[in-house]
Amino acid sequence: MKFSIKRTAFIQRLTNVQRTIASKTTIPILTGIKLTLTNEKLILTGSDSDISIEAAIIKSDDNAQLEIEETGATVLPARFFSEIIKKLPGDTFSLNTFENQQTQILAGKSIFKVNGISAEEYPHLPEIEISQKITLAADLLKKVINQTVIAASNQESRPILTGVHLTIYQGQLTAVATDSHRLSQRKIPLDINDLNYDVIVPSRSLIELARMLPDSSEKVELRISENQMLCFFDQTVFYSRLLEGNYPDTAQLIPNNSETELEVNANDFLAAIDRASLLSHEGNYNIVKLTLDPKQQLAKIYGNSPEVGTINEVLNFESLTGKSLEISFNPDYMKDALHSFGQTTVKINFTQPLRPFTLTPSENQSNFIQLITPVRTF
Amino acid sequence: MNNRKLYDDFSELEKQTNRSVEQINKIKEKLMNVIERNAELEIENQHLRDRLEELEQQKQSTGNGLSKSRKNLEKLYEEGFHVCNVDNMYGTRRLNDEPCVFCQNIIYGERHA
Amino acid sequence: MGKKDIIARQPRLTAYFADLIQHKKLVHAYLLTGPAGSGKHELALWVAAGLFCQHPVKGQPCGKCGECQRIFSGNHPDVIDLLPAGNSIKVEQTRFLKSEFNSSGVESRQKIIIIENAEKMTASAANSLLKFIEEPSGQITVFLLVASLNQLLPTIVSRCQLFKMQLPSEEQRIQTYQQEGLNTLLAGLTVDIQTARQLADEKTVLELSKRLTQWFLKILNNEWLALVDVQVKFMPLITNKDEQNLFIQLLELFSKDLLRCAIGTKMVYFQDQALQFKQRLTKYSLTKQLTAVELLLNQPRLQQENINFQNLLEALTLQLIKCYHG
Repeated sequence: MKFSIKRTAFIQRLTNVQRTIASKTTIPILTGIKLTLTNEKLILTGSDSDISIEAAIIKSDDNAQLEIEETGATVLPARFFSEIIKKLPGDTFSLNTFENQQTQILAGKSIFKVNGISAEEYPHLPEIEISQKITLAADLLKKVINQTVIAASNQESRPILTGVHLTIYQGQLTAVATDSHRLSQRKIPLDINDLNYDVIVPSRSLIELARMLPDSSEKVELRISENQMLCFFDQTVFYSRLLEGNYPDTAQLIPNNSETELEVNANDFLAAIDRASLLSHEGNYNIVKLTLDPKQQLAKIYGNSPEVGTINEVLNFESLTGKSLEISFNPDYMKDALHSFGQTTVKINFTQPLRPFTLTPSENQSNFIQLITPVRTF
Repeated sequence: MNNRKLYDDFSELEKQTNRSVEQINKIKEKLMNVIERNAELEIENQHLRDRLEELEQQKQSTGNGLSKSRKNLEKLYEEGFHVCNVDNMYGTRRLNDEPCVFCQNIIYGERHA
Repeated sequence: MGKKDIIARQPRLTAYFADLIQHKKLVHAYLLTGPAGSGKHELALWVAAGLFCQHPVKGQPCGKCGECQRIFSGNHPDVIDLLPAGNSIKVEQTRFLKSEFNSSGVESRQKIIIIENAEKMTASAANSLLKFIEEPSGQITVFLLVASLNQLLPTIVSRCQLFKMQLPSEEQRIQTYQQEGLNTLLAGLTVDIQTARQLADEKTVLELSKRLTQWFLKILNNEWLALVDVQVKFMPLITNKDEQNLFIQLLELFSKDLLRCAIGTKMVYFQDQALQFKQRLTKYSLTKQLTAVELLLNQPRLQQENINFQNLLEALTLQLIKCYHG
């Protein structure tokens, strides 16, 4: 393998890939970074078994000035290699791999020789046919991820719930995450009709993916194999291992009737809950109480911390209908949920004081649902 | 004269006896009917009792909310244990007594086939 | 150690697993027992290779393809080797183990998890293992390796398929020990190579065996001073029941070597002094040699009868002298 390239362009890609390389790995080769050079591009690959990233620099990229002399591949110790590249003199460097896996790096008057490992030893990432792709906008995918991962569990004792359940069926993508106390469900329409998938993706992977996705509405591609989910964007391929097991049925958890309905502005309500939570955070029980009286068109929030103090606030709302209700819940869950809606009005539907209640945006009610389980009022 | 009276008396007795036999038969028939009716009524009675119990139970499950088995689960849940089996958690303690939607769904949710 | 080695050492088990692989009949959890050095780890790796190999021959790995090479060099992402560090598995390792039970493989859904020294699993790790065995997900196969069954929770043992490593024959053991630089005498005392190393380090065994041979030479020389040796050379080193048992074992091994001498083959355990013995012993008739062996073989029974150990050895000395020298 032989090429030369502009250092800045290379380092940018290198940084992206290095995020996934852990210092402690299950197999020694994963402390390495894989370099693959084809006739069209240079691909950098890094992985920690759960997440793998392939970032490419194509020949036609003017910023990179990639000159391909000889194709090939090798694996180099990641940390050491990246330190070398960062400290090289000049704007460009060239790299040359010999038969014995020794790699020579030239820049200005500096010559480095690094011992590498054959690329054959590196894990083989799955390749999925292009016909099986699912296209959607980057910013939409990012939003869907950010709106659902907040509800996923972060306890290893509940491995299945640390993942986000993705189902693709009849042209619709449904993403559900729950930690058994609250749940977030998001549905978006897709432009394909005949692909069906039912997988669980670790939320940690999705969070990482969301960080890497561009903010624009450019199209990204999802492909799913039997054990990995792939996302193609911006000359990068993001791989995530899937979780094994059966995700519990969540559709039946969402109530389809409502006894009391409160419509509020998300930000205002969030601010009020935030104030109330000041008290609850000080005490032993992180609970606030909401009192709704539609007859008198009154909504109040109450927070209490014994020996510290109390808070009582009358709430503004757009509308309040149905039966009277007194209900208590964890304000942090409520805050997380309200945050995810952004600047809009939300409808909160309650059934009974001890049954879960839902939050939906006032428009498009079926596409986005947040569900929270209340606690006993005492 | 004596013989004639004796004969008449005896005939009379015969007639009376015949009438008694007839009566006995009639009563016997009526008794059979009564016994039959009694059996029918007993069965009907038992059926009605069963039906009543059924209705009582239904009333309980729609009125108070829970059948016996769900009440047991509710009790376990209140004590602080999981009754759902998500992630094999059945029987484990709920951390910080936090609520669990799956458990609640099992206890209070609609019956699924 | 290459794959050929394990086939020679565990022919029965490798044949069995090759058949299972060929017919795709692997279950989710296997338990391999046997002392250290009996080949448990090698067997587990071999089976893993057989599963992933690109050109298997009747379920046996070829050893040459990329999959086999990566597995044997510890670089396959879907063959996970867990060796608990220290006395019990670390918290981080337990967490890692739990997440591995619930995630698919990197290259395919197939995954092998090998847990060495499985008895070191904490209750929490054992619990998640149990959950996995009860409801296995995907195509994950676990190999548990233990030295002895009684160190593992019975609930786990009952749920795994159990396999005992075939132990090498005495000859093979002697060869292996020699290769490690250990005295062949140790091969007669223990099947476990780690115990052998320990005994070698402790030096008691080797010292005692040296004194034993010196004592016997005196007997052959008709030196009555051999009797004094018992009190002066043996008893100081034999202070408890364990050491008595050890000495009895040494006598048994010695008697085996005497027999070998009698029939003209080489001594195995007491090789260092072999030459001296051979010269002396051939002077005596076969009958006398055999009687001596019989006398030695009587000792274990006598020891069981709780005779004072020093008396026992002194009596033995006198009997042997009488046997050889009339």
